[in-house]
Amino acid sequence: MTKSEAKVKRAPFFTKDLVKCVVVLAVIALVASALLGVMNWLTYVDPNETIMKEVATYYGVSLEDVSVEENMSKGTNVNNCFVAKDGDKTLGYCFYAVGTGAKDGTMELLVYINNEGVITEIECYAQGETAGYYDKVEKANKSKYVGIDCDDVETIKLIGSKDTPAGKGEINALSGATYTSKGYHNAVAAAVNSYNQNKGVAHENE
Amino acid sequence: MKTSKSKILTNGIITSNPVFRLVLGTCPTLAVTTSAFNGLGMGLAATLVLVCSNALVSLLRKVIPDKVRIPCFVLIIATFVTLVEMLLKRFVPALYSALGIYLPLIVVNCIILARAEAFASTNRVGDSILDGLGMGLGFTLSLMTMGFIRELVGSGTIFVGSLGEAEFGLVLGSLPDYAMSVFVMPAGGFLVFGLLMALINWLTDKADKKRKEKLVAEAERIEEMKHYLDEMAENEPEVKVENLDGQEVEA
Repeated sequence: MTKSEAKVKRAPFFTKDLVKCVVVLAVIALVASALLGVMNWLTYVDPNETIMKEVATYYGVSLEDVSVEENMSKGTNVNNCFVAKDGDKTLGYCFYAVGTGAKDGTMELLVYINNEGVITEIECYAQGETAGYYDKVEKANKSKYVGIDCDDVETIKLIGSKDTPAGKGEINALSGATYTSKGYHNAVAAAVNSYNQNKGVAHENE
Repeated sequence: MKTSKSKILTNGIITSNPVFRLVLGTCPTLAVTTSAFNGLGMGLAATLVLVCSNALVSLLRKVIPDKVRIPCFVLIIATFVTLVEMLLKRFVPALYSALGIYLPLIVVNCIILARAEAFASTNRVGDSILDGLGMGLGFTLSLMTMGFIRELVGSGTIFVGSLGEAEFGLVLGSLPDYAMSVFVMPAGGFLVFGLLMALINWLTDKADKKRKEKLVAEAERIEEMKHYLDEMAENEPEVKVENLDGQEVEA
């Protein structure tokens, strides 16, 4: 058989079946993309807005009185800082802090610090601990940090330290959730550090 | 023989329950059933994806070429899973965080791909929707049952969860302090899964045995009737037919 005869006898590459397969796949992909684009547009959640709503609820102000305080969020492991104001008076801050070393990577907390630099509340934003365990971690850790002044850095370090002897009814971390306890401490420490580093700048701007 | 609509619907709930009878979708079953609310959320999300993907696969069954049917099915299923994910993130963020990575993993859940391939691609849209609904309900009920048991024994609470601003659930006194945490861990999940499967197998075997006994009794009754009719035929008295003149004629 000559070369030209072989060429003629070879089956064509672009058969009707192949074209149909490609077209059907392409059409389904295009329609799916369009649908997903529309749904994304309809259901988009601004993460900052969600947090600002929570901050407004906590401080008892309207959403317009809560804003992003970029000067206060210049710290390691602090994604953002929000400030709640009542007119010209600053009511307090909320640090969106990330605690490294937790189970499944990180723990994200909202650390509320008032104008005097006292930690008033700690709320969980996202965590990867097993259900049923995180509540116990929060119960064990939260009360140790709430009420502490951010200037008292040594006390905060001591709370999260392994060397702290456990006193009456006190525990350093929850057994079975030590990583989460570590992440909890790291997130609070990141928020406190950021506040201490930038509070001078914030007070200047008031 | 055409299967009735009710049989298609109930098939997935009891006879071919995807979790306890077909043992499909075990990974999300064990991972998310740490509470009844999470089990319910995952079950409903999977049901929605199952119904929608079954409907669309059935609608396009004559259009999709055989060579690319699996990629097309996966594309359709993935689209619906992403849509459900976006809806949950927007309207039920607590459930979205609780389900975590297992929500996008619905795409590779064997139940959904298996039903698309085994049923939806060869049946009409209406029947496919019913099949998806039945399988989804069976999956949801199984997840809720497992979640209820694990939450009760492992956390000492019943149906704790939150929907938007509303929080609900029941904390049983001081039971959470005495709860066996192992039941909310993977080991406890396997234990509950195995025990529930054993229970369902036992109940199904008992029902099968009862059904077989009924069939045997029915067969015996028919055999007796046949024997009786045969005897009657043998002992049949001779019937003489006479005409009006009293002469014997043939019957």
